[in-house]
Amino acid sequence: MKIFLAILLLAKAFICQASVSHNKSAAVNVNCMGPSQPASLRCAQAPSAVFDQNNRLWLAWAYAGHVYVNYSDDLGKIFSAPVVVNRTPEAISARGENRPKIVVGKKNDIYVSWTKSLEKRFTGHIRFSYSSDGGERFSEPVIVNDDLNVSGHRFEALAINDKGDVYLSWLDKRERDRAEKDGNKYHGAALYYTWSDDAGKTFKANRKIIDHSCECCRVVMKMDEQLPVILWRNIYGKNTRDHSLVKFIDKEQAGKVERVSFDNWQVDACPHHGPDMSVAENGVYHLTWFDNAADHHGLFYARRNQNATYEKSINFGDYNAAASHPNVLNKGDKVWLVWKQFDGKQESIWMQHSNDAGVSWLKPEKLAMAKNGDYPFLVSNGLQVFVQWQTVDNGFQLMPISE
Amino acid sequence: MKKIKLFYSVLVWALVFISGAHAVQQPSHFKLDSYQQILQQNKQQSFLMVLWSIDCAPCMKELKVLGEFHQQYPQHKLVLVSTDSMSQSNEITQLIAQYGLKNVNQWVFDDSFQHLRYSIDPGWYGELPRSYFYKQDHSRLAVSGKLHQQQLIQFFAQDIKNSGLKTL
Repeated sequence: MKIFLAILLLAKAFICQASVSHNKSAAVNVNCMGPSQPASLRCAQAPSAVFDQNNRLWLAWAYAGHVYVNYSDDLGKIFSAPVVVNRTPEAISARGENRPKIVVGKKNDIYVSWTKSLEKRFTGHIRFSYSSDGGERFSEPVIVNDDLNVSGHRFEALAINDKGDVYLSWLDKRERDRAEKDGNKYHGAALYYTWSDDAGKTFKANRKIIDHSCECCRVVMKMDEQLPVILWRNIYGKNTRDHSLVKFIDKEQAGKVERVSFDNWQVDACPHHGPDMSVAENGVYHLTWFDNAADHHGLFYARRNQNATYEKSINFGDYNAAASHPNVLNKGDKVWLVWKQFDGKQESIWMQHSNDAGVSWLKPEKLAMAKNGDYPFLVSNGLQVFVQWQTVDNGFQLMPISE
Repeated sequence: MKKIKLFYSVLVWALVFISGAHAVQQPSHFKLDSYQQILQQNKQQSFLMVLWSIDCAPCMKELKVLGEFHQQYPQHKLVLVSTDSMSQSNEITQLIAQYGLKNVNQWVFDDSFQHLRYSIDPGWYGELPRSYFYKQDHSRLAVSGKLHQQQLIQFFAQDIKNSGLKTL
C-alpha cells in the first residue's frame, strides 16, 4: 500500500512539474502579464491614438481588464499617468482587429469605446464612456447595443462631429440569432449604428444599415460634412467578401450602400483584415483594403470622387512579403499609406506617399522593423503626420513621416 | 514477488494515467521548428493539417465537420494547429473535446504569429480556417475557408480530382 501511495505521489509530482513548465514557457513577458502589475502603456494591448486641437496626443489601451487613457504633450516621449475608464474589470477585446477607440472633441470632451467579450464565443457588448473634464474622470461605462441578449455586438467604430454628436457603428448578430432560432441560415452579421446628440449621455434606438456583413473585420467610420461615412467588408452573394461604403444623408439616416471593391474573394473564412479610409475636406475619400482572391489579391488603394464615382483600384505593397493591414490618411492633396510586411525574419512598416490626391505615388519606403508588432496607424496633429506602432520590444512609438 | 508484481502494475497504471492526462490536457507548443517536426512525424503518409482559432466563427463549423469525419474515419491522420496562444490552452482543449477531436494531434502557436505563419507557408495571409492536404509524398494542397466532409473523404480516398480541391 505504501508503495502504491509513493508511486501515486511520484506520478502527481511529475504531472504538477510538467504543467508548471508549460506555464513557464507560456509566460512570454512576465512583467506584462499579471493584473497585479501596474498598468503601463509599455505592456498595453492594441492602443489607439488621436491628437486634440492643442497638439496633445491621447491614447486609449487595454490592460488586465481595464481600458486606460493617458496623453503626451511632447509627441510620445513622456506620457501622463494612466486614468482608468472602467473601474470594474471586464474582458476587453484588444487584439488585432479589436481595440479600444478614442476620439477627442473641442471642449475638453473625450469619448472612449470598446467591445466587452461575453462568456459565449463570438459574443460581446459595445461599451462607451466619456469624460467632460479633459480626461480626469470617466463616466460609468454603458452598453450601447439595445439588444442585450448574449449575442455578437462587436468590432465597433466611433466618431464625433464638430457639433458634438457621437456615432457608433458595429457588427451585430441579433438577426442571425433570430434566423438560427427559426432554423434558417444567415450569412455573417448585420451592420448597426446609433448616435447621441447630448455628448454621449444618452443614445438613440439602434438602427440597422444592412444584413450580411463579414463578421470578423474592423469597421471604419469617418465624418464628411458632419455626417458619418462607414466602410466595412460586406458579403455579396453566398460568400464573396468585398467592401462597401455608406454615407449618411442626414444626421439620423444612412443612405444607399455602395459597393467599393470587386475583387470577388470568395471564402467562408475569417479574413481578420478590415479596411481604412480618410475623408478629405473637398469630399474625396481615400480608401484602402486587403483582398486575397486568386487573380486579384493584396493591398488596394482607391479614390472615391466628389460625385460618388470610383477610380480604378491600384495594388500596392509586396504581396510576397505578406503586405497587410493598411492605413490611409490625407492632408489636402497629400495622401499617405502605411502597412506591414514580413520578410521571414522581421516585421517591417512601410509607407507610400502621393502629392496629387492619390493619382500618382512615390516609391514605397521602409520606416521601421521589429520582431513582433501591432498594426501601424497614421495620426496627424494638423501640422505633421506620424505613424504609431506598438511593438513587443520597444512599446509605443510615434514616427514623424512628414515635414 | 507479489509486491514486485503490484509495484509494476501500479507503475504501468500511473504511467498510463500520466501520458493519458497529457494527451488530453495539453496541446503541444507550436514553435519555429514544429512544422518540420509534424512533417517528420507523418513521413510517408497522407494527412490533413488544419489551422484554426477560438476567435474564428467559421472555424467552429470546420471543427464540427472534422469531428464528424474523425468519428467515422479515425484511421485518417488529422493535425490541428490553433493560432491562439498557450495562455488559451484550456479554452482550446475544451472546444476540441466538445467537437470530439481530443485524440487528434494538437498544437498551439507559441511564438510570433508572423514567424510561425511564414514557417508553414509564406503565401498564407492568416485567414482562418486554413487547411493543408498532404499527399503521401508531402506535396500539398492549400484551402482557405470551411471544408466539406465529402472533400475530406475524397482526399483520403486519393480522389483529389473529384474533391474540387486546388492549390491556392
